[in-house]
Amino acid sequence: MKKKYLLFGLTAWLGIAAAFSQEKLKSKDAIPIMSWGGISQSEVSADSYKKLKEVGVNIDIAFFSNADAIALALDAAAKAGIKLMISCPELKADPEKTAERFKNHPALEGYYLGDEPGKPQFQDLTDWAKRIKTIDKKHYCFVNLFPNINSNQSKFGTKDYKEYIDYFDSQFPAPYLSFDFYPVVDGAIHPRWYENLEFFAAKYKTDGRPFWAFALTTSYLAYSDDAGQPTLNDFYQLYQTYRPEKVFVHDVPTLGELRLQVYSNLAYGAQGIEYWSFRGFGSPIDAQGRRTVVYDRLQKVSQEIQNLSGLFLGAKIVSVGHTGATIPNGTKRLSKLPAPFKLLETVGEGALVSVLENGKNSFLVIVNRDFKNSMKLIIDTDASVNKILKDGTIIRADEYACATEVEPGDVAVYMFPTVK
Amino acid sequence: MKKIALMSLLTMIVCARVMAQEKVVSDSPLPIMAWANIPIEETNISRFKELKEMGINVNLSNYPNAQAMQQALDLAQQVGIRMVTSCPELKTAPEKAVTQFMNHPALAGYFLRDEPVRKDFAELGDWARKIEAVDSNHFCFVNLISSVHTTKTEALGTATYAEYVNTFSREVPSQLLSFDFYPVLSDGIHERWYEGLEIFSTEAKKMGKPFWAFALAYAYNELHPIPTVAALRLQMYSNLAYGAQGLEYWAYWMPESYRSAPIGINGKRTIVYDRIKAVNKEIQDIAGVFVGSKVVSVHHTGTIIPRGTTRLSTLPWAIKVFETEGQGAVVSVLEKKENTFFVVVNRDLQKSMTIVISGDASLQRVLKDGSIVNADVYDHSTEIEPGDIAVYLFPTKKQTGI
Repeated sequence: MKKKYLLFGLTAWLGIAAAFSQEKLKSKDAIPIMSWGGISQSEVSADSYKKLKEVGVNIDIAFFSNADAIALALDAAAKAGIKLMISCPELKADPEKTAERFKNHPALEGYYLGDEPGKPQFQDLTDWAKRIKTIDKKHYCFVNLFPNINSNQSKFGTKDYKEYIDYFDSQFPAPYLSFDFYPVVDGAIHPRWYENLEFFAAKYKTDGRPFWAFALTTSYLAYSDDAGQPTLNDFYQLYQTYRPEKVFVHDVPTLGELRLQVYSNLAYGAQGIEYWSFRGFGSPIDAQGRRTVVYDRLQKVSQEIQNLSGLFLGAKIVSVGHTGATIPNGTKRLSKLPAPFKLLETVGEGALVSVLENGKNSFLVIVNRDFKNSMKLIIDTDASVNKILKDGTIIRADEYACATEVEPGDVAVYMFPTVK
Repeated sequence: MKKIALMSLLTMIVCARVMAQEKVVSDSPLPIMAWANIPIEETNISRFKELKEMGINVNLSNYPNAQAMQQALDLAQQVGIRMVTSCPELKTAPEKAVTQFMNHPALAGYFLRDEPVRKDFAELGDWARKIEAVDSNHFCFVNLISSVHTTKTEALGTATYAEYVNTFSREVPSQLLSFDFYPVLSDGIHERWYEGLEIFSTEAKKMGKPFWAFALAYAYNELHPIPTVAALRLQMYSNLAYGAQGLEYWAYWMPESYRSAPIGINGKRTIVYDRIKAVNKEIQDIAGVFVGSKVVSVHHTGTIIPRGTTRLSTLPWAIKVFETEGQGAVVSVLEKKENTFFVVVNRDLQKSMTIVISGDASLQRVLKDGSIVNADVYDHSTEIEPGDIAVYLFPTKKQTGI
């Protein structure tokens, strides 16, 4: 009998052992994570929104058939602690009245106006947004823009992508820009994805225009002749394997793929993340409203990025470079390291390496571009550099060996004092 | 204005109400012990803290004299970990040494010996009895040899491996049993590992003693690869599925000529440190599944099941359908008072395993962070990552009306 008490004593003692708290990266706010249609109109309830919140989403776009359904959804979302970007026919038919109805609701995030418009639609969208703004100056209107992959530009309605984005930005009153690019196709990275991120990062750096970017959280088939999907002609042509009959597949997202997308976006300065979508084969929630394995993967990634929100939220881009035998189209090779770094080498496919500045601290952010294999990383720093662990813990970098590994699509982060 | 809009958005998000979920709870953390052997010149508060931060709550280290052992215990107390430890005086003058240390709050137990054979048991028994005569509040710790050969046991001095374990348990006063098996090899899983777990857990159960088991924390020769998260998970979750009540890592501080221990020979952390830390966190998040649970059954699935194990042929009442694809799984049923746990470990170190599971309305799923949700909020088909675990929960007594 006594022996049993002894072992119980050991475990009980372990339970009350003094905890040493470690310094962690602090942030006042959470990174906005917005789902597209996470909860459908027929599923609206506080429990449904709670399920969405538990996967890490803090904003959902509600595409509903009438304003009354929006009202119910806002009440349910408020109970779950989620905000909504709202869309209903009344918002178009009578923007002032609809904005008046919802503008004081605590769960209102903003007004969804459109997805992937071309230049011909910009004026209407702008006029619409202005009408809403006359009633509600507190909330913003949201439009998502095309990625840069449409080689024929017919959908842009402009001479090139730059004019498409710049013109929209000069007209439409939005606090940030948004574009959707689903880069993992047939087990490879689309060759123009990083080029698109370079574009928005440059705009953020030079014009101070923040942007939000996407991760594909479902599986879907991209038919080469499906006008409803983003055309992948550029991709086919670049790889010279164009076969019109072939169906290209965005497979069920793996942890490595999800990490690669969100960490690349954030390393390029994205100030918000969007998940598309929550419906269909391979999505986080299945047709019966049940969680899938993608739900768990997404939950993990969402938690991870919030652990690093103190790094990414409000950060300014100092530089972005790439390593590897070949670097992606439109990117620059990493050629210079911040002074506290003596050595940085990667083994394998290569990395995205960005330097972000956030107040007194600067950060070297290293993303493994390989979403299937770990990457060896050799890094040597001076004593001023700290390593930020995945849970946000701050620790002296020189407590780690110079050689380490970064998991598929994952990130390694180092912090050093900002020098003015 | 734009800035104000964003600020208010961010503030709202932070202020949003947090929904609390029910979690599986444990009265105490699972003991996780590292054979640390931190060098004497590095025996200081920051190194002990570093050990604790990896998720270790018991430090096994031995010292060249009683004074050094006293200092280590003091450090352990400051950091909030406990020690299984020894010094030469514990052997030469056990009663005196025990009297010196028995009231130290950081003492978990006395380390006596690693991997003894049959002929050593009598001496170890005498030694343990001397210690117990003075201090019956702390345990004597001996780690037993692995079951690499369960029948060719001449070197052990017994006819079978079961006899080796059983004889030790009867002849050497011991409150817990421990054995080391490092099953992850460069070319796969050691064919005798699960057989060893079967024998050891069975013998421990017969003796009414808990057992502790290992994961290899570094590549100690060319046969053993650098530990991956999957390899660490497979070892620890298999141990726990078989009922282990404590876990051990060998080793922590890298000895000469070995590779990739959590702390390198230069004193710096390696990638293995981070991997073990992550796995330890996972384990403690669901410690409530394992601490104090009794093993009801352990079986295996797959086209080929490991040597010495038995195939899963019946399911607990709350589970209607259970199938695994791929290499197969360890499937154990653990009982803890009113709750019973259905534990599934993917035996594949390289690939995720698809499982199909369906139960009645009482079946719940324990998520990796310990949250408990109704199993039917998940699709019937899901995946378990390489070496990873899935845990389901149902009432021990069948609910009437369900």
